[in-house]
Amino acid sequence: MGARVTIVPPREAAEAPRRPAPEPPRVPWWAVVDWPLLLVILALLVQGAVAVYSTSVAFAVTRTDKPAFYFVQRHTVFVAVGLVVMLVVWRVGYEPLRRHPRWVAVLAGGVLAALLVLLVRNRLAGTTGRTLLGGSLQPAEFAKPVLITYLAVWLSTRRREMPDWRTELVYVGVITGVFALLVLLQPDLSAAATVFALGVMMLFLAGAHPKQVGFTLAVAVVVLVVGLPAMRWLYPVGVTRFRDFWIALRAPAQVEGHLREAIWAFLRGGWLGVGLGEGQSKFYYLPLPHTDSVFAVLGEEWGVLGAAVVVASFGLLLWRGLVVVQRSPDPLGRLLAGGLIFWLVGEAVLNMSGIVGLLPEAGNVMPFFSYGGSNLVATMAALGLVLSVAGAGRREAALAGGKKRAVVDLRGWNRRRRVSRAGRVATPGA
Amino acid sequence: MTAPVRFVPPDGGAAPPAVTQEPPPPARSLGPFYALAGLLGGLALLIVLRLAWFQIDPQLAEFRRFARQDRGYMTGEIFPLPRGWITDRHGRVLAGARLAYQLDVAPDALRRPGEVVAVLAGVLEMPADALWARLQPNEQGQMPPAVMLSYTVTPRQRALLLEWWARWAALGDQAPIDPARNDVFRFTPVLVRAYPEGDVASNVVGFVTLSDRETRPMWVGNFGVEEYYDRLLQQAWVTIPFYEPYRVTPDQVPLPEPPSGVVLTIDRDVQNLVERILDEAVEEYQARRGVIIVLQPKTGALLAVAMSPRPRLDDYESVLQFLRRFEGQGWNWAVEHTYEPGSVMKPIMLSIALDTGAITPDFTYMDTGVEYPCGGSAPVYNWDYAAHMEQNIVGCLANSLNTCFANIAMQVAPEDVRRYMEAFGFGAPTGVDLAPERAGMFSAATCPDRSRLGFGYAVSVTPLQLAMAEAAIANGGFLMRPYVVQAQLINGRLVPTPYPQVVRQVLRPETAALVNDFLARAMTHDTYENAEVPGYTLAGKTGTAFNPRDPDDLLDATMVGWGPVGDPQFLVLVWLEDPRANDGWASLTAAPTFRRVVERLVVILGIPPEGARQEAAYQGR
Repeated sequence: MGARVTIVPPREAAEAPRRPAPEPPRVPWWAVVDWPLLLVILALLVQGAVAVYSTSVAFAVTRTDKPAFYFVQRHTVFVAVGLVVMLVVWRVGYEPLRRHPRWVAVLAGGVLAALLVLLVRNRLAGTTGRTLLGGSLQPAEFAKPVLITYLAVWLSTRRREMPDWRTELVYVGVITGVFALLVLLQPDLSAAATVFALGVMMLFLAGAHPKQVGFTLAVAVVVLVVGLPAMRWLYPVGVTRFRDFWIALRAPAQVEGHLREAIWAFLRGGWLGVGLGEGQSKFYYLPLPHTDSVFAVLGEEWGVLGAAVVVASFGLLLWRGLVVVQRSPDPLGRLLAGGLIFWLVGEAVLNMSGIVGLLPEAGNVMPFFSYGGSNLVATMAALGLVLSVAGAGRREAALAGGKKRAVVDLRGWNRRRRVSRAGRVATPGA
Repeated sequence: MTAPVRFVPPDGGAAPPAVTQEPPPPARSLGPFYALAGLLGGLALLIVLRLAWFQIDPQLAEFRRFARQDRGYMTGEIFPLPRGWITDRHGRVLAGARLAYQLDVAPDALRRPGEVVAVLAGVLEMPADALWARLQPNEQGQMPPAVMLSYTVTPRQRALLLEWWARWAALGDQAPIDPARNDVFRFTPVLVRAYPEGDVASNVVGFVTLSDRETRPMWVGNFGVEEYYDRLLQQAWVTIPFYEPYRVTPDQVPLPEPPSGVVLTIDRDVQNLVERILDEAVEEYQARRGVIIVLQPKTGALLAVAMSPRPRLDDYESVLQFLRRFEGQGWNWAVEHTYEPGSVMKPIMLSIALDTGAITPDFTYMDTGVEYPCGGSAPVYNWDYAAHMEQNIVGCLANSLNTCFANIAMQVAPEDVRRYMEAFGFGAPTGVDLAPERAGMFSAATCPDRSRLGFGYAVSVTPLQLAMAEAAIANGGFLMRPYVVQAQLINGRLVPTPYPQVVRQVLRPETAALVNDFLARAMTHDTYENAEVPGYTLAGKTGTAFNPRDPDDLLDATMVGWGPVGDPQFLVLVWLEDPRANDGWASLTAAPTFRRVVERLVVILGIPPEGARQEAAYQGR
């Protein structure tokens, strides 16, 4: 909580020096927890675990020489670690981010350093891996939530120091650009594009100046106009993906490759699916059934119905995120919760849209459902932050609505004091 | 704040700090949040709609049908389990399984096909010219990538062929095959039916054919037990999924126990005996074909259903020949052939008349050699066109007087005739667990038809139908449902079938006992001397039927008999079609065959002769 000054009369202090200072009124812990959000998270974890179980075994035995349950075992560990991380982040809360912006800078620096180390190692060793510490850490996965956090803190604190919109755009652009560049050099063009989009999103969420919006749009148009023809040489995979998407949109029966297998899986699944674990596309047909193509396997095994449930779960997550944003007591919480939730749901929606051929595939993974430890832990950490924002909002609401008290909020981001409306008189003597 | 404030964020961040009593709530510009959430939510909705559209998109109709086919062969190594076994009542296997291989040859890998075909013909014992023809290009002049030559290659033949292949491959450039190819011969393990008992009970068992209607080739039962219990016996597959690191070739897997099977009521010894006797009888009496049924009258269990001639199931050519020769006449004539049985129906009409009270046991008939049951038309004559003067019921039976039984039939109310005939199971399938089965028919609609029913015309029966109706008389008036399967093996557990079943009670037990007595006394008559077995009280009736409507004017000689009377252990029906010897009279063809069967049957079944029984009873006392 913000700085609270308790003025204790000297006489009282002398009389009762051991008496604790009057604490801010306590709100029971269960009233702080955003239960619907927590339930949605747990439901997605369970759905994701089932999906990983179903898909990764097939992948392990057909395309690796690892034991069948290698990925399942690892995923179990990741879920446990992720839950612990979520609880710790939740407990710590997002207050320290505001109070110690340097820590955020250190965190961002750490991720960037890890990306750099990876880059140098790959260059020196001639490898192309994306993981550090023997495959247990994938720094690029942490780049996105850390960027969101950093920008949220920056936009809610440093923004007012900006002289004009151009300067602000340059600052945000540089921060985002450094992240995007290091991810791009991995090389991971689609992830870099996602990082860049996240930077734009944060600016947009924080309330961008119309000229900033216009400038960003202009840049995007220029990039598209220049980049799309150049993609043939720079990024041939992208051309294929774009062409497949275009064919799938008009004549889904004629599409080839990955999308064909995905559509095959959806058609095989039908409305109710072929049954849990009964899918066949995951064995040889779909590339990466346990990560990028997991939604196709879900569509085959669980049918349209099950896929709709999965989409609806992400919809619930989105709705709860929006509620958290609404109830958030301060702009930092708003930006954090909104940015992180939009990032998670956006990744999932982009992944699913790519698989069903609504959008070109952008190489996004599906949070909770795609196998991957770093991604899961990053997701859970982000949700821990969102839960803490939700907790702050609920505490605020409980204090304001439940027991009416005059609480002076010193956290207004525009340096105005935020004073609750005159409610009922507080209990005398409390 | 030190920096000059010029930039005004849209949420009014640079508004001068206003300290008022009640400041307005800060402007919460949640617009961007709502916009982004709306975008993402809309995309999510589109995803679901897109998935739903996949399922109904007319463009994808063909693709949908295609996609819903099984791709299961990619999920693991698939091994066939053998088709369920068929054993006789003592567990002796009539139809089992053995490991064989399907042989596919790649014609384009053969450099000198002649040499290869010569070796193949020698090893596989197949005609070389047939093999040669199979390896030629098709009508379009294209060479198929692989040609299936046989699916009954034994493991020994496979080893020989692999040896040849290795020998050829060692020749290098001089080899008659392409030594670099690894698909010259491809062996796929299949489990084919094996018949350890040869042709015993082949008409009961039925045969299997390889069906290509399924995604995987599978055996489908045709006729008999194989067809009736096809769902139970059906070959299954074990999929050993890729989940386990699996490096075993199919022929290293031991032949698994079949998960299912059926235990027949057929006794292989009785069946074998009866088939041998029938083969001899068909040959001796120059009959076209014949059937012998042995069953237990008290339960309806079929001990033997013999047929001659019959195919050898392990020789597919013989099966084809059999089907070609008796085209349109079915597989198992005991249940599929219907004919007018003639005089063997007389006990039926006698029991109807006695049970309804139309005649009394002391009925006598004055035979003048001709009877006019329906006025002047449709006169009925005896088989010898002779007059036998006054006869009681035993005499009518012993001399097989058509006139007498036409008279008896006319004394029964028409409605009763129809009701009892239906009760005896005529005109309806017996419900035996053999497939397919024919029902036969009868007519009691007109006066001539009713009078002819008395001596076994105007009715068509299958041999089994007739045997069961007679068994109802032997069994105290209870009609049983015939059956051949007494237990099913389901997943390793023996489950009894719901037999024996009483279909209905047809006669009062007193009537049945009376008819048994009459028949037994008639059997002591001279005309039955060929059917008598000393030491056993048997009841029975012969029947020789002429079929004037049949273009070939075939003659059917039938004999039904059971014993010992009072405690019937067996019922034997002998049917010979068109025996040329002895003018075809049943008493001279079917009756001796009946005796030969019964003489040995009582030994196999362990039924002591009556004298011995009395002696044993005496000594016991």
